Amino acid sequence: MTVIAAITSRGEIPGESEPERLACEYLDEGVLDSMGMVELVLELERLYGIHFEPEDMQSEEFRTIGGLVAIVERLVAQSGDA
Amino acid sequence: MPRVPGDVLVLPEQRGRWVVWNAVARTSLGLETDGLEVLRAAEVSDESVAERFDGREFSVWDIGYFSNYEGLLSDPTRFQRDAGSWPPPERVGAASLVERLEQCLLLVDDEAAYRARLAVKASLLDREHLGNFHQQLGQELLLVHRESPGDWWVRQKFTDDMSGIRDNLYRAVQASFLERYIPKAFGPGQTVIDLGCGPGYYTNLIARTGASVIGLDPNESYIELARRNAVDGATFEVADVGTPGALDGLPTAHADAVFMSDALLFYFIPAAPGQTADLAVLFADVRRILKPKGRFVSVEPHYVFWLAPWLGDADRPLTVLTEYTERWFAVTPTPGSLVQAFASSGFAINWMEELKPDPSYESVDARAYHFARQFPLWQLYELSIR
Repeated sequence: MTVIAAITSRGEIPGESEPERLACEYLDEGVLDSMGMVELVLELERLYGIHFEPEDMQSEEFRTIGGLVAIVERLVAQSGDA
Repeated sequence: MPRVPGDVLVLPEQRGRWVVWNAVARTSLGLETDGLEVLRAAEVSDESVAERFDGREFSVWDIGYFSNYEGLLSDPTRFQRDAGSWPPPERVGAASLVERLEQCLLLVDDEAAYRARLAVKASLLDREHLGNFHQQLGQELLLVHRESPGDWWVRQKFTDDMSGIRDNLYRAVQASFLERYIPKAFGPGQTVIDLGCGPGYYTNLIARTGASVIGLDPNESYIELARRNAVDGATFEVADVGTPGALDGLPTAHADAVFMSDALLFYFIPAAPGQTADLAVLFADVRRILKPKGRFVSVEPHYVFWLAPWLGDADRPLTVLTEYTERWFAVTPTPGSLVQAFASSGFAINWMEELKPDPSYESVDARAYHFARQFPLWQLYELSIR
């Protein structure tokens, strides 16, 4: 399961192209609601064995699907280093 | 040119310390007197700061925190009380002190941007706008603590086994009042409907008078909890109170009383976006299910002083109001809008009361007690069909 798949299982991501979909601000565009977003974070944490820090969730990056993918990739890399 | 906005108050604290506090944003820093000089010099120019304070260091205490995470009835002022117990200060140069003051909105460089910050939030991830209290709490719970607002609400109000109210102002003001009021207001043979009953604490209190009570709430987990703790005479159902048809299961003109506590406020300022409950629908339902001489009892957070900052000395409180007509932060209706809503829906007001804390609470938390005594935190209305 990828980040994108985890989101898609909760709501349809608008956009014609890959870059458009990655730029999607999923909360503002109604793909997820607040609780859905928190559930998504919990699922990604379980799936990848990572932990989102409050700073991650409050970052600009966190707002878009592409940013979320990048955060997950970074946290996965960090947990590999540890 | 940067400016100390008019929203900022400087409060004396012990040991020569000051709390510099933005009353609208509720952000703060602890400083000593030399730190205040830097604040004023920063209004002149960066050069002025550099010239006057080059090479010097200043104490700064990061004392701001989201105090209402501890509970809705915790001190809403959002800085650490008792300067004597502050942790050791950071020592910083003048330029970084200026930066900290700007971050905490105690010094503002761009007036338009600052004003824009006061707006409501567009979403859970919106950190640009300060937003109303519900939104701030939602961000704190979901993004910082990752806690479900429903679970948090139960935890901050009730003891772990749900048998009682925590020893805070819920207990000292609301519960102590209702424990006296309910046995006088309700009794055997009466049918009472508790709308927005939550986990059913007051529903059970009403049932103990011998009344037959139905508690309704849209939150399934609250109803589950309520059913586990139900006493004789109390029954609980999930219902989307305030939406069309939600109360169709209740017969017309059969209830002696409708009781609502801490629920009406959400009809004025929703707790979360997308709320569908509607005041006109709710009030039409209340009128329909009440007997012609039935009573509608409402106990709600006080329209003015709920979440107002607790300032002044512990036993001689004062507060500041930063808004009333146009609400950015507050989550309660104004008296005008609440009374208008009652009146325009065909209710007559028979009684109104502002609740006071139980005197025994003074020894538990003197500041909270004196604040709640001077500035009521709940109000009761008794209404009937006009």
